[in-house]
Amino acid sequence: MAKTDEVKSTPPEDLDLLLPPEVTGLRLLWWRVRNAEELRWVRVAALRVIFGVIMIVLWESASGTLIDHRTISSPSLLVTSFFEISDPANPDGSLWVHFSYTVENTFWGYLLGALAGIMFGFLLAEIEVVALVIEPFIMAFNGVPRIAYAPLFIAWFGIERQPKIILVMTIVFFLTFVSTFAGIRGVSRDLINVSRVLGGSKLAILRKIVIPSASPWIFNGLKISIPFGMVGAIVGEYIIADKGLGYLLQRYNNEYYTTGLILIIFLLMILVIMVNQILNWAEGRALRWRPTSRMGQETVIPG
Amino acid sequence: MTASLSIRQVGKRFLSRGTIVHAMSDVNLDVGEGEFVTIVGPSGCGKSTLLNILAGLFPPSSGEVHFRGERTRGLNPEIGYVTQQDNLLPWRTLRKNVLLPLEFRGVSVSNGVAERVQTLIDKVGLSGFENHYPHELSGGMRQRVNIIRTLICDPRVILMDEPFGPLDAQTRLTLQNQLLELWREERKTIVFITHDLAEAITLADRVVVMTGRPGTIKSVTPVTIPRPRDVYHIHDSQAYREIYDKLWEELRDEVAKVM
Ligand SMILES: Nc1ncnc2c1ncn2[C@@H]1O[C@H](COP(=O)(O)OP(=O)(O)OP(=O)(O)O)[C@@H](O)[C@H]1O
Ligand SMILES: [Mg+2]
Repeated sequence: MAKTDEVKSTPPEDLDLLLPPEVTGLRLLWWRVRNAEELRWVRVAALRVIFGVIMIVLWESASGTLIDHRTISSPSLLVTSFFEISDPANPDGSLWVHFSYTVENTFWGYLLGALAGIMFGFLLAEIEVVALVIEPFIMAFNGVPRIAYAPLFIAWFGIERQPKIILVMTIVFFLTFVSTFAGIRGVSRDLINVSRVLGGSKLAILRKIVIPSASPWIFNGLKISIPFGMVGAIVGEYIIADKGLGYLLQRYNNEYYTTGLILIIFLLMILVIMVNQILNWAEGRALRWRPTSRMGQETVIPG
Repeated sequence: MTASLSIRQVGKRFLSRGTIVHAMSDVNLDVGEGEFVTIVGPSGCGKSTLLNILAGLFPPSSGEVHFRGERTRGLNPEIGYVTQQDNLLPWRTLRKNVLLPLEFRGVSVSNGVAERVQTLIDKVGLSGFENHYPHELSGGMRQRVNIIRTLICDPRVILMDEPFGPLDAQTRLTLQNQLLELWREERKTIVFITHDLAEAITLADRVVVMTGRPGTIKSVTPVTIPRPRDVYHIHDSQAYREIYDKLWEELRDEVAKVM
């Protein structure tokens, strides 16, 4: 990656100097496409597609020949079973019913957990005593693997949505809380003192200094909570449920239905990538001033 | 000359990791209205602490400070403070950084205000950079923004803590020149800390030398070199040399004690 980057970043006028004189016609065009700075992300995207296609082809040809297709399934099996499972007439409920059940639970858990986490982060960071007293407790609760809470939540809140939402909530709460807290604690004292001298009230300093300073940390917390929050929803369903992707995983697992398992894994991947892209975009807009995030915007990931 | 700031028997002790640090004691100084006073002293002698107290960020442990005859309590909108670090907000452009104190004070940005902001920006040679972010500016430019951000509120007193400390020699001279010009036009009261004796003499009406910790005032020396001063050539004059040698003698003893 690094090596090709160096070649690509050569300015165009120098490029022609590097060009071997015998190259003409179609080969010249090809040479230009390969080296033009503007086409960089197109090239990367193309390489990615090629890479993906190679993987799929290898997978497809290995399945049923090198390795039993019941073990590793195959792309074509995935496609056919995708249409089977997502059929609204599916007696077990269409894939989309399960999908939206999980997404809804994750969404509500995420939203409530993030709101509470950010709010508490602000409150506790501002109140020194409370922060000191409560810190070991928070760390203790946060240190326990979240799965350990799941049975308890199910005992308390039943087997419907609530325990799953609450599981997601606790996970997202702690992650956003800790990052918000750290972000606000990290706001430069000097910056706050200077703002006080410049006539800033407590509220104005919170709005104009503290929140913007802490926002990179808050965004970070929001971002890392996405996959973890989803784990919460899935684990909750895996333990007990009659709906959701976690429930499907559990069922397919019992039925040794690898194609179904892999299908759901792909679905989850797509979901996480999509949500992450949305947050990246929001972060990029909110933190446009940041030199690092600006450079980040130029990364080759299209969109 | 009426006193703008009177510092009376001011001392400060910090409790730091269970031990008491006696940063400063028995500081007495009157700063006249419109006067330019510079302070030099060994590192750690409480210069920044003194400015923090004058700015009202925290009270002295002993003694009191009067501003125009009244004892100060807490922050005072008439006193501006230019810190050693530029402390600009990285998410705001140059212009928006300068506007910050006005937003804090609830001043709406009318045409008049916008014009005043622009005038200041032009005066310190920053025109064309209004929409740049701090990370796109050089250290000297950022420090200029820091200074005009304080000037925009039009305080009577400006406290400056080694504002040109981290800058290279040429930039320093340019900024000293600009500062003297601003001061000539607006006649603010300025208390200016520096570790550079040449800078202290070039700028000041009076140079204050502080002793090592606990810091107190060792001497106050008037600088009688006529104004307007030429910051680039003042070092050649005989009067400057004499003051420099005298102050260096005093300072050297103090620095030697600390080291
Ligand atoms: N908030 C604080 N808590 C504890 N000790 C402090 C605090 N602020 C300053 N001190 C101590 O007070 C003394 C004076 O510090 P100050 O920053 O005023 O020195 P200074 O003269 O500005 O030094 P320099 O020239 O290096 O900037 C130092 O010994 C420092 O450790
Ligand atoms: Mg200092």
